[in-house]
Amino acid sequence: MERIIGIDLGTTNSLCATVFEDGPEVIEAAGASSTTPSVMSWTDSGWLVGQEARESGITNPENTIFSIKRLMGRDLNELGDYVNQLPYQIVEAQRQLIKVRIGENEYTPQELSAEILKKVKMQAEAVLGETIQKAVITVPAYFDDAQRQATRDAARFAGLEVARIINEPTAAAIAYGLDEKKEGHVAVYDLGGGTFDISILKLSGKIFKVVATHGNTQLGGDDFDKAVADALKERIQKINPDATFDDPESKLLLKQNAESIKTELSFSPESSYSLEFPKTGLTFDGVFKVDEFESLISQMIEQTLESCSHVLREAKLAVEQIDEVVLVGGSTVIPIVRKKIESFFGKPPHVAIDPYKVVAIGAGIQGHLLAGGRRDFLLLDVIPLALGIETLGGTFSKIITGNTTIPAEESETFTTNVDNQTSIDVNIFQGERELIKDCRALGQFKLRGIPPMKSGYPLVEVLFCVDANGILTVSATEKRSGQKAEIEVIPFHGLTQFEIERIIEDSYEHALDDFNQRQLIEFRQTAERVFRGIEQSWDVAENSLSGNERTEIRKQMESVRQSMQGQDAQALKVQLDLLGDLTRPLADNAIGRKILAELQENESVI
Amino acid sequence: MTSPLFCFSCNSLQTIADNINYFEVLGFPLCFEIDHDELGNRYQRLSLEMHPDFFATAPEKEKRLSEKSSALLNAAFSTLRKPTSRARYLLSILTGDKRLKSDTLPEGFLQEMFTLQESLDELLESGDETALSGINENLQGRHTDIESDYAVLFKKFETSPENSEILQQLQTQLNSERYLRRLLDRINTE
Repeated sequence: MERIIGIDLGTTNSLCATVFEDGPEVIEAAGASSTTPSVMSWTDSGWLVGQEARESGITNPENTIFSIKRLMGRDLNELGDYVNQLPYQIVEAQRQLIKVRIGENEYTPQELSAEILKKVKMQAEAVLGETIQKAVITVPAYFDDAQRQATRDAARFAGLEVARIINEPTAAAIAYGLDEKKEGHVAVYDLGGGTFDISILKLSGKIFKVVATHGNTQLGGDDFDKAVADALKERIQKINPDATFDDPESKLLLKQNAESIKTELSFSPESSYSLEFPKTGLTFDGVFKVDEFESLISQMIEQTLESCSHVLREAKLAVEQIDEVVLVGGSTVIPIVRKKIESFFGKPPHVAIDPYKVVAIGAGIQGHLLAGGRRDFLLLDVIPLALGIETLGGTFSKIITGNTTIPAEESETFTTNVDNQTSIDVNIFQGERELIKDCRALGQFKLRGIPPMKSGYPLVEVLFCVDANGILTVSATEKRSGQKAEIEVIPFHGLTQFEIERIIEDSYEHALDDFNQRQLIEFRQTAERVFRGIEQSWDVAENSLSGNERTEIRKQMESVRQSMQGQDAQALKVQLDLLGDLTRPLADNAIGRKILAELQENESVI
Repeated sequence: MTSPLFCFSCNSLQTIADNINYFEVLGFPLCFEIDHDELGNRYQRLSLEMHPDFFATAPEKEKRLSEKSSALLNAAFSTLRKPTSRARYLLSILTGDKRLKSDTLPEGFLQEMFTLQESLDELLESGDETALSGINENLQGRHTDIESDYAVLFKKFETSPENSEILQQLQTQLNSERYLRRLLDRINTE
């Protein structure tokens, strides 16, 4: 059975899980954290991803990318002021696409997200000792079509086939439902780094059915950080009215301090900070009290509770009918968040599951099911927002309503306005409002190849299919002639098929280069370590090796040094191996063993 | 149970016939009254066989068939589950080629709705909760009455299928339902 892992691709952190012999668990090496911060940093030697990127961020702010998930499938207009808070640079590309500019290069959010997925995949492969090709990837339930497509494209760029995209709260419900074996209505409150979702599921026997879902894809812990950062700015400007914070270093410094203040206030009534701005050398000390933090974020928590009311209405349930409230996402550890949830639902939330891991574990279980490992439960999910088309006067005509169980299919018949018209353009939108100006433009479908007929005579049946991933595909047939109309999709916020293929081709061409580059860096570092080892043990070598042997070693060190200047990783490896052979007699003593250990460590990398 | 979408004895998806209706999908006769528990059970049983999650490693053709069958099953279940959508669907099948007037309403209904609409506007403006819940209750009651009329009318049609006037009455009921629904939605969302 082919393994399908589950990946929680989060705004702040990402992690993966799978089903082992003794049950589902996150994939982690002994002693190492399974969590990969969703941060990447461009350096002279390529991408750093995860913890290293996070650490190097403060010295390399404009090349350090975080919260990329918030940019997925969005445009500049929608992101608004958020873009200005980012230390890295966003530029507008073709159509309404956005890209991140790093030095000379521009990257789509999909490509950057792929770097995180690559890292997660690589770590999982190292732990499991097998290659991974397929994954279940989770997205916020309230992600629209463009955001889902963007996620799927990111996976393709990372060399992963998406077996399924599932909603984060639903993944959590799978883990919870299978664990607790309870029946009834469960509300999953998921407040992560950048998104908020509330979903209501009905658990009955083997079936977990999502009844309704609501949320906000631009609200999360990030915004709490921003509120704290803004409060810090205000405090500083009170003392020093001329202080500015627009440079990347200051932005990141404020963000990181705000983050640690927020974290500390989850278990302490106050948090003291000491800021030192590298550019100006200005320093500020102070104390942040939990009351102030709570009043800063209370409006945002209220917003999430409004979504809760909304979703209850959609589900036609009274709050008393909710049997359990399950919390998911790092931001739900904040005490005030828990308190407000408890008073809203009238019962304490279920906190036995780890809010950081539960989504990945649910995705891992779902992956196991898809791979054929079990079939004792079924998840029935919904499409979060209605899909429809623009009709006369800019009104939005819904074709598939929100909260419809997926997969779903609906057809709509179109005709022509003019004699012999052979094409029709249809604008596709997603949303819950009456007018298209209040909905999300997904793209334009151009129907071509309609047989020439009198106006109003052709009957073009357009079939809208939402698959089990919540992703829309459209096909069309002219009913009178039976001829299939061609459909060209122009996504407004996503990549076209052509663009996707080009990126994949480019990355394939670069993949070999990238691999060589990574190895080259590693081998150079190994060589440096080996040199240091040899120099340290040279006294011993003088005693235990003949003059001839010592000369050979010196000569070989020179050859390694020359290969280090070159660009060929394999050539460097050959020279390093030769050096290893020559220093083998040194293994008789302790320091020599140390050198050899360095060399062997290098071999295990290959 | 049997369904034309899935063969339980050979355990495989079946090709979807062109003119299949939602009642057939779930193995029910073409009849308004339906056993709700049984409807739910059949939906679950079929979902547990046909959902694309169980065909993730199947050949592309079978995968697509499972998507299509499940989409049809989902549409059938959600339509048959609620009385109004079930009535509307059944009416469209029973009407067939016959022509019904699409905009009929009971006498005085429209005038009554306008009056209700006006007082609703005022109440939403003033935020008079007690009066609002009064109107809400009144509308809910009317709505329930309409929904219970469907069964009576469909039953009548069963005994005299030549009387297409009954179908027109159903159409009238469904039209009134739409007005009531809209007003109820307004109260509940604002």
